[in-house]
Amino acid sequence: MMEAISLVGQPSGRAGALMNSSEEMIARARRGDEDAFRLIFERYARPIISFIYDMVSHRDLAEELTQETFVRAYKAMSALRDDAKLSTWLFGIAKNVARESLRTRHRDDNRIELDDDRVFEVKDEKLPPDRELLEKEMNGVIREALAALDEDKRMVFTLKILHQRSYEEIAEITGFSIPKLKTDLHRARAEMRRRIRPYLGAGYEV
Amino acid sequence: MKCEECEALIDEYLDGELVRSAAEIDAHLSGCAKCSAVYEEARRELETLMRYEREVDVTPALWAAVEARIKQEKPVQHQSWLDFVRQRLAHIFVAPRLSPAFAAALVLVAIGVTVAVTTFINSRGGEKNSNVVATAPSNNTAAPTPNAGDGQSNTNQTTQVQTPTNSNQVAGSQTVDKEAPPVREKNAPAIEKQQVARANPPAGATTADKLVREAEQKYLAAINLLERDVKRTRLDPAIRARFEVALADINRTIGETRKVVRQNPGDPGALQYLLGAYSKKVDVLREMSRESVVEDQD
Repeated sequence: MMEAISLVGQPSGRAGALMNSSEEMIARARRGDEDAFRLIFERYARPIISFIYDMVSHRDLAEELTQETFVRAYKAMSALRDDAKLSTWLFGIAKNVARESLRTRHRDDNRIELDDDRVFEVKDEKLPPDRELLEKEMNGVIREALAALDEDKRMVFTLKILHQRSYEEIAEITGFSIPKLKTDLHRARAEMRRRIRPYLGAGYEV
Repeated sequence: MKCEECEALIDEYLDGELVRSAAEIDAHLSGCAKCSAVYEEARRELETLMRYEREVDVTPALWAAVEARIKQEKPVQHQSWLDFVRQRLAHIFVAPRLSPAFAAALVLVAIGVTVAVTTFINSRGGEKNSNVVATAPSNNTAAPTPNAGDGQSNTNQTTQVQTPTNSNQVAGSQTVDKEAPPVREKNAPAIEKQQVARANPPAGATTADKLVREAEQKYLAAINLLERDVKRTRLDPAIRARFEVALADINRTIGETRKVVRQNPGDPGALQYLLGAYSKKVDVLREMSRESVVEDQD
């Protein structure tokens, strides 16, 4: 377990060495041990910020909401039991934080406006199929396509496809029933395909 | 397996979510060019998506920001006993819900903590336990009925609590003063003065034990009310499950420390731990209230 944790900015050697198990890490974090909580942060900050970014599509906002997620997690650590559920639990908090943010931002159709730091135009879906796109441009295509989904579909899609969660985990994180999330996922996939497929012509290297 | 059936399951197959039909799909794909092409296209799309890179990163500044905020939330382990109780009370009085039941719970908890604090002081002082016995019953009679219907209810009720006796000054000051600060320390010598004045020396350990039990009852009554309050609220089932598990954990701790306190009634450390566990339970129930308020906004 410990090997998977980033070594960047690791807490004091002694504290790190004493945490032999995830259970111990969580138990210590629950008692307010900051070193233990930092390990949790280092392990989960990237997937959490990625998920939140998928939901809100703004870098600065995603950082701010990730911060909020971990602060709430710290305050609510006593609600947690074992490592198997830590990730799901954190994603559940992140989901709430992201949704609250999206609802306080006035948008039409729950769609989101993107940062202006992307230069290229990707709105034209009739691109010639033989155009070769760089990975970077495809990232922009995916990002825009995600932003165009409604909130529920975006959430389910990102959790399933981009974060490889099981249906059960997604149901736990989102509170959706499995039939609903399967329906949303199916529709989200159809929409994402519609937007991405034009760029997956013969010219695009896989 | 027919092509329509296979195509309909391709996405789940790629997701690794199929258990029963996976082998059938394998077999069909190996013999059907059309479905193989569908599968291949879906697979390419999935691979493309999984190579998606986002423009966010986890920076040291992000942790620094989290750390700065959690330091403000740091729990009370290293504080003195009085600071510990003070913070617990201040925490409790910032209540997200001021339903009548909740307000009553606050008052009961405050009364319970009063009794516990005086017990602790007594057990430290040794023989000066006299009028604390008198204090407890008068606190009982002063306990108001939970009839108030608005957010000011706890303040109104504590006014009632304040009137009867001098000793209720402690309860009153706890509940009215949201900061719950130096008042307590001032009241400690006041109680001791009253004790000297009424000099009636019972057996220290038995009295302390009785008072702890009374404090427990007060806490339990408060927790009961809070639990009923929380049961009525809407809460994400997954989150509720987590909280239930935490509560079960705390209940076990309460059970064990209660035994220790009963066996060592004069031990302030055990008493502190027990009351800390009760307080923690109140915290968890409060957090459940907070989470359900958030859920309501969804």
